[in-house]
Parts: sequence; C-alpha cells; structure tokens
Amino acid sequence: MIPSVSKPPVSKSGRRSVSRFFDRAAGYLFISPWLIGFLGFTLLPMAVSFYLSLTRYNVISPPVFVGLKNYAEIFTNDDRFISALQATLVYVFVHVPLKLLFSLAVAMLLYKTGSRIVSVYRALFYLPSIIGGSVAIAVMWRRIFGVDGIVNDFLGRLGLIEYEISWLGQPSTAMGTLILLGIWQFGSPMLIFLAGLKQIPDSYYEAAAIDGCGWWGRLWRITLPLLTPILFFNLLMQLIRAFMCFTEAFIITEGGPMDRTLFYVLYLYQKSFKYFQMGYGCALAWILLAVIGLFTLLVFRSSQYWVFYESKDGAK
Amino acid sequence: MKKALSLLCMAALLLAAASGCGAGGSPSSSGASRSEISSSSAGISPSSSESEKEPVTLRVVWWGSQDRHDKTLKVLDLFKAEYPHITIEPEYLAWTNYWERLASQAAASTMPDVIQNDYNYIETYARNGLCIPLDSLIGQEIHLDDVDDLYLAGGRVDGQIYGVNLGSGGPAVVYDPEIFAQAGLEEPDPSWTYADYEKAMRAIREKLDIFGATGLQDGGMYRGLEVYCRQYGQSIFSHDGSALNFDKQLFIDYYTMYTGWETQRLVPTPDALGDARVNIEANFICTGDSAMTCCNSNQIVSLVAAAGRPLKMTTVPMAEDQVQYGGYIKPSMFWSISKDAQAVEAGAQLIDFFTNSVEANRILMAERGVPISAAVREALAPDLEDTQKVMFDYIAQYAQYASEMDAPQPAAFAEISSLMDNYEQKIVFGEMSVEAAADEFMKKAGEAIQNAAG
Repeated sequence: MIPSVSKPPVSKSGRRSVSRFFDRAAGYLFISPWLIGFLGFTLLPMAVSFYLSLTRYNVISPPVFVGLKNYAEIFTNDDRFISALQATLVYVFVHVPLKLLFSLAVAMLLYKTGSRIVSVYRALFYLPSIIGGSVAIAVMWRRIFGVDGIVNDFLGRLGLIEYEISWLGQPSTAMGTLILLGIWQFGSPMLIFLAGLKQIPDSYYEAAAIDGCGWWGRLWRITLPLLTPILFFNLLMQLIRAFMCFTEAFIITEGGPMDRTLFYVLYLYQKSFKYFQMGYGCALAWILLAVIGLFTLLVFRSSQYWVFYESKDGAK
Repeated sequence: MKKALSLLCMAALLLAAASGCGAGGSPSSSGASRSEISSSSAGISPSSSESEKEPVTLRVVWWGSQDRHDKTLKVLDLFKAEYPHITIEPEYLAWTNYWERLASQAAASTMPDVIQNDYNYIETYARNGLCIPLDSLIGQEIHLDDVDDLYLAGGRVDGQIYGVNLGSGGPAVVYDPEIFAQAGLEEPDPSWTYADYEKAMRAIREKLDIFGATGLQDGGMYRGLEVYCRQYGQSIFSHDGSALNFDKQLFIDYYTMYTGWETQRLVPTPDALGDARVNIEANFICTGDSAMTCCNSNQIVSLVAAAGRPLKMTTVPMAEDQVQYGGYIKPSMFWSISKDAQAVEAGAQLIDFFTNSVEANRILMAERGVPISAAVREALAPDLEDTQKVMFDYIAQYAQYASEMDAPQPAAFAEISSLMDNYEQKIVFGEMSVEAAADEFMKKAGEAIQNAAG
C-alpha cells in the first residue's frame, strides 16, 4: 500500500519467505518417511476398511454395498462375537494386572540388587519380550503344554498327575496357558518400571527410614505413589496390547476349545480370511477400535484420581 | 548451503526408500517360502532352438506335505532342463493357509501363473474369472490324447476346462498291518462296518494302549459326517449349495457314535492331535500312537514316506443299514492358470509336463493321486512299490465301493466345518447334549449358508 516505505522489507521478507519455505520443506522431508507411511499404510487402509465394513466382500469378487447390515448382524445375531468379546475381556482383565504386578516385583528386585550382574539379568529377563510374540515361541509353547509335552512329563515324574492333561485342549486350562505365555513376556513393562524406580530420590527413603517407616510403609507411601505415572503408562500400553493379542491363540489353540480362547482379533481374522467375509471382518475391526477407545478413555479419566504427578502437586 | 545439503540428503534418502518399497511390492519377490531355480546354472547344454527363445519367469504355487514339496521341486528341475528358457519360481506351503494367501494375491492381482486348485474352489475361481479356460491351449501346449474324458470332468465349469486333473483319489482308511497283527486282529476289508471298526479300535486300546484311529478325519468332523450322510443317500449340502441336505437324526447318530469313541479314548479329541492336525508327517500313525488314520487315498504315499514302514489302505467302514456306499472318487487337485499369468504358454507347457512326462511321474509317484494319462499309468506299472500299487488299485478296484461324488461345496463350507468341530467339543466336554447341539447346529449352519451366499 505504501510502496516507498515497505519496499526494502518486502525484498527482505521475500528472501525470508523463501528461506522459510526451504525450512518447511526440509521439515516435511524429514518427516516424510513417517508421513508417507502414515498416509499410505494407516490412513488409507483405515478408510478402505471403513468402506468395506459397509459391504459384503468375499475378496475374490467385487464388494457389494449393504449399509449397516454387518453391524446389525454382529450386535443382534452373532454368538461367536459374544464369545470372542468374553475371551478377550477375560484375557485382558486377568493377564494385564498379573503382568504388571509381576514386572513391578521383578523390577524392584533388580533395583534392590545393586550389583553389576543386574544388567545381565535385565537383558535375560527382557529377552522373552523380544521373541515372545513370535511364531516360534508359540509353537514351542504348544509343545511344552502339549499332551506329550514337558509339563506333563515333569508332573508325571513327580507323580502329581495320573493321566496326561491336555492343557491346551481343556476348556478350564487353555486360557490359563495363554495368559502364562503373556505374563512371561514381562520385559518391557519391567524395564520401564526399573527406569521409574531410579527416578525416585534416595533422600525420600532415607527420611522415611529415619522416621521409622518399615518396608511396607515405604512401598505404600513412597514407591507406589511416585510410580503411578509409570504405572499409568504401562497399564495403557499393556491394555491395548492385550486387546490385540493374536499370534498366541492363532498358533497354539486356534481359538479352541469351544471358542474359549477365541480372541477378538483371531475371530476377526477367521471371518475375513478363513470364511472370506471381509466386509464383516472390517466391521468387527471398527467395533474393536471403539472398544479399545472406550477402555483407554476410562483409564485416562480415572487417572486423575490415582495418578500422582510430582511437578503438578508442587505447583499447587 | 547447509539447508540445501540437508534437503538433498533427505531427497536421496526418500528416493532410496521409495525404490525399496517398489521392489518389495513387485510380484517377483513376495513369496515367503521361495527358492529360485535358475536355468542358467543348469549343466545341460540347451538345444539351439530352445536357447533362442525369450527367457520367461514362471511362478508356480502348490500346497502339500514336505514329501510333495521335495518331489515337485525335483520335477521342476527336470522341466527346467527340458525348457532352459523358463526360470521357475516355486512357492509352496501347507493347506492351512493356502487359500487365505491365494485370495489376498487374487485381490492384489499378483497370483502366480500356475496354481494348484481344488475341487471345492475351482468353480468359485472360474466363475469369478480368477483362472482362465484352458481349452484353447489343449491340443497346442497341453496334450490330453491319453486322457480319458472321465478324468477331465471335475475340472470343467460351464463347459470349459479350468483345471487339468493332477490325479484322482477318494477317502480311505490307512492302517498299520503290524499293529493289527500284534493286537491279534484280522486286517480289514471293504466289507467292514462301523461296528467292526469300533471293535478293532477297542482291541487295540486294550492290548496295546494306543489310539485305535486318529478319527474319520484328522482333527475334524466334516469328512466323517459327509461319508455318513452319503451312506444314507443324503449329502451335507444340496446340489446347488443353497441349503443343508441331511436329517437332524443323522447328525445325532453320527455325533453320538463319534463322541462315544472319544470318551473311551479310542480316537483322540482334536486338541490332543497337536501338530498332527496340520502336518501329515506328525500323523499319529507315523509316530506309532495310532493303528489307523483316515485320509485321501493319494496321501498314503506321504504317510508311508513319513512312517518309514509299510502301511495298507482300505475303504471307509460301511454303515450297517446303509443304502449306498459312502466313498467317492474325485479329482484330488488340479493345475490351473491364473488370470494374472504372464507366462501362459510356459504354464501350459508345465501342465503338459506333469500330465505326460513319464520321467516326471516316476518322481512324483502318484503322490497327488493316480495319474490321468493311460500311457503314464502303463509306463509306471512295472516300477510300482506296494504302497503305490495299493493306491492305483484303489481307484480301479474300489470304484465299486464308491458312489457318485457330490457337487462342489458352497462358500460357507469353511465356516460350517468349524461349526461342526465346535459342537463336537461341546458334546465331548459335556457342555451340551447331542440333541441340543444338533438343533443349534442346523440353525447356525443354515444362517452361515445364507450369509455367505448373500
């Protein structure tokens, strides 16, 4: 508007805008591997999946739009959906607390034992988490708990069992076996707990000891409250992971016996790839997303009542 | 300057990543279990006319046991020696995930050129245009002069041939003659009934404390019930696949009989089978934990190879008051050419090689079923071992103990098969009465058919 005054700045800001463009471009370029991955392998498949959930699609012939029929069918007339939800909830509610408890216990043990050897143990304990979700471990688990597996052999030698127990085939024990496998992979929450424990200043414990506070009191009044943010994080991660549990049931029990270990994702897979009802499978997937979202929301909402942030408290 | 440099770096990285993705997505590198047989390394000097041909790559996929993989790979080596310009990329896996994988490849238009097809799938694949009619190739690359039309019937859909039969077979009981002798039993013959079958199993359990049989189908109920229904002149599915086609009472009778065997530990419950469900090499008859097993007649070749001792074969037991024989003879599997095929001509040459080459069939030894070419059968006859002779004879002799095969199963087959197994477990574990299970099964199976048909 006022060219005479604004001219020099324009050229300057022009140069600046060019350099800012380069800045931005470099920024986008730097995140582009992730961005492309997100758009191509997450957002696009999700959009397609949502469309497919409204269709009847057997993979080999083109999808036919059916509206909300799949969802209606799932909610009104699908016993196996109920079984799958049940199995998954049992797994989540038994497996997650036990795993957190166990990993916390091991983390505290490792923290206490201050010697050099700890790093070796830490690595050893973490190992199952790296390989635990693999097919090989699932196959091994099937062998260990198989009718002629080492568990039966061991118990038989001790004279504890008369007949070989079909651990994976009995409705009463199959789920327990899978939960055990899940707990065995306690490594990553353990590491996170361990890191959290190291954050707690020694001075608190010293002060508590001087005041005559016992082990239990220190755990209850210092360790746990200060660890709640870590606990919150671990709970959330493990919760989501448990909902998506697949490999174990797919390889070890195939959902049996009597759908007792038919985890939700396994059912989704069966519907989509075994019975070739891809549209129905996609609808199941979106319902799972909603369920996981709901539980995550609940955990987040509840966190204000039990998660304790030192800094926030200090600011009060 | 620095910025430009970083920009350049990122661009280069991105390009590398993109090209990496591209290579990963190309059809030539998607297989999980794939080894490449390159023709260039073969020591045979190709004839001049062959070497001038444009090199082609042929992707072949099949399901099967380790025995089949070994034999097929050997034949592919032989094929490559004869057609040096063809490079073969074999993909092979077990039955369990075969169709899931093929369907995903079909959706992505990356199916291999030549695919092993099954009687229950060929119609669906043909109708959906996923494999191509072979009629124009027959007489050109594929020679079927020595093949009786009878053997081609199963591969025909709407009057066109979509699959060339790789061999014929039918349900059979394989037994271990040694164990039968140890238990003081006579070897079974085609006149035996379910009562005889049960008696034999009980004697084996009492004398040797092993399972009498692995069941009438390994880890599943479908095959046994299918034969049982046929023995009473009925079938699991109606001819057009739109409904169930058997009485509830048959379901009740069969499940009562079968779960009775399970509770007496004459046959294992499916969970006890473990690896044997998916892996023929782990079959209880191979490991010596069972005296009998049930399979497709061609599978005796793999079973004997895995067991390492002679096994014999007979028909499935008769029902005492049956109206017809329950067994049937059907094409075990086909070679088809997929819609995504790049090398149709080479694929046809491969199919021809499997059908007509005596050398190839000498290696295959009817592992996929009795060869369809009369000339090949004749050439092979003098070399047959006892096992194979049993199978060759099975088709010739046991034809009189078989009735006409059912129409291909509808799409709901897999789901209904799962339902059958589920109700079996509910009955075995005492969660449900047989009658209640029958009622529920009939209802659920009907719904599954409706859902799958749309």
